[in-house]
Amino acid sequence: MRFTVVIAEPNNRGRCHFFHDLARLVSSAIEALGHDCTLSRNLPEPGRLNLLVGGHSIYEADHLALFQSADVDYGVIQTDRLLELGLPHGPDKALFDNFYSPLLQNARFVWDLQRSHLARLEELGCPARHLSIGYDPALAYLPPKAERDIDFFFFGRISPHRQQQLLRLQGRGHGLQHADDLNPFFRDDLLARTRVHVDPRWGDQAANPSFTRLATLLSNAYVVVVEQGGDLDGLEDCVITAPPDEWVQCCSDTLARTDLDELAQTFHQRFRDRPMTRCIAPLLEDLR
Amino acid sequence: MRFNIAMMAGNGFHYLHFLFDTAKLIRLALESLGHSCCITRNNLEKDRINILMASHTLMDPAVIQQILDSKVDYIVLQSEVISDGQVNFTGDRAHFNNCYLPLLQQARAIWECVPGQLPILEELAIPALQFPLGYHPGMRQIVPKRTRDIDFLFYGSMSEHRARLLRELEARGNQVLVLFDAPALYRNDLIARTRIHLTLKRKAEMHHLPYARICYLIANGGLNVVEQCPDQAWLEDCFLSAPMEQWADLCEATLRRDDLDELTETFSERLLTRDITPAIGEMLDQL
Repeated sequence: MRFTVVIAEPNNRGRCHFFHDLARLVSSAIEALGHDCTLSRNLPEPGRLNLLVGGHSIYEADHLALFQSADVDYGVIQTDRLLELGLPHGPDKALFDNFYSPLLQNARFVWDLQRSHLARLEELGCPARHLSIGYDPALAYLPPKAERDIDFFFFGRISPHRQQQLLRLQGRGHGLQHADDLNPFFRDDLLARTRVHVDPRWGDQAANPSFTRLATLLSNAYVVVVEQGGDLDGLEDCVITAPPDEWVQCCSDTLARTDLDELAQTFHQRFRDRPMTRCIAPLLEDLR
Repeated sequence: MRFNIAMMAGNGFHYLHFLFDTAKLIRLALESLGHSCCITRNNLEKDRINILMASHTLMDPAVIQQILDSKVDYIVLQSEVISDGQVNFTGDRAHFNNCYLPLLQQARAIWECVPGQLPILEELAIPALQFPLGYHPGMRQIVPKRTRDIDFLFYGSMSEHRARLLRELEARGNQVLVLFDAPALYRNDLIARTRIHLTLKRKAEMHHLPYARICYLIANGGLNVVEQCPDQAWLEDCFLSAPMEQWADLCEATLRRDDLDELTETFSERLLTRDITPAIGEMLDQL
């Protein structure tokens, strides 16, 4: 089969680079399975099966129309938290109803990284399948540096809960860096300088981690401390977890460990035993 | 030693990403030599030797003075055209005299990317070392695709000269894809799909080529057809080249070759012998 992973990056809308690693992961796994897969920014390719990433950031009628064209075949890889929270950020409800909802409903298929979204998608009339993440060498491009001079690093959007947890961590005197919409070139350098990566959950209603972020970190052998409460999709043995009220202490304890490198390698090896090709192959089979 | 590659984006400079590959190449070489190196944006570090890139974009004399007053240790990676008291033919002599020149004069070292610029810097009483380009295994980032469905790809900034030659090649019925400003993710996907990469001088009268781009492409399995240039001797066994008038002919003839894979492999092996790491090491010895 011939695929194109289309990353929605509408003009001047930040954070679209968050989808780049997911696109790398999916396209590389598809190619490893013997298919042809290209990448495209914003534009679907007629004659190929388009896998749209970041579709929730499309809210221009012209852009939506590209996917509704009769000669375009597409599916959606759904990553947004709006299905858990309502509409916590990004488009308001009208935009959701007018753009993302029809985009999902007209798709040939929907894959979602969060199992907990499947029921909500079903309610929207979009039967979806769960896509787990796994290891692929395409994401192993960020080996840790020999000198790691940053204690903790978090990359991603900040919610009130995350801010609270990170401030508590910083309040202990640790070196903490955060990157939200930083160009990935500079983000990656910070990432490689870090001893322990932290993953506080978004909030009570959205407790699942970002699986794309975990894929990036685990592919490159980093230790991640995840705040418990959500579905880890079988990655429990690849990360350190702690409940919300113990998470900050757990981060400090992890930083103090003398076996961080060994721990990182153990987690990395476990993640490698879960290849992305195995995660995506059954979904591709369904498309035949 | 500890280094910080400080990528400066003054005056709303949007094209810093054009220098990312070079920054990465330097970082990799420094790390291979056992040094610590980070890459930051608009940030100087007191406890590291700062390697300034794109510092010609700093247009405010007050910012320059702030850098000089801070006494941070820095090297300037000089990659711009300096002529007639200005940078890149902008005509802005005040910028050169009040910003760029003082920055160059106070630097611990100048690493000059274009050999032809060394005499110009010497005239300004600014001693500079020629910065080498070449290969580092960490620059192999692209897995070539099984299906190469793009005949010709040019990526980089457009100029009248480049546009004219690209139009000529296209007018002959060839499939020519031109890319200016795409993030590396998309650019690399297109590189992996391409059979022949096009490299052109920015202006016909220019004496240097975008060697960082050429090396990156060769390292990643790309075959370059290059517009011949006076200073290409050091790398010319790694690509095909022809004078401007014959360049389009060479592009077409190359596309018809049935030994493209072997040729690409030969060029790639030759680039491997130009390991940048020891060359950077020699420059560090002179600090």
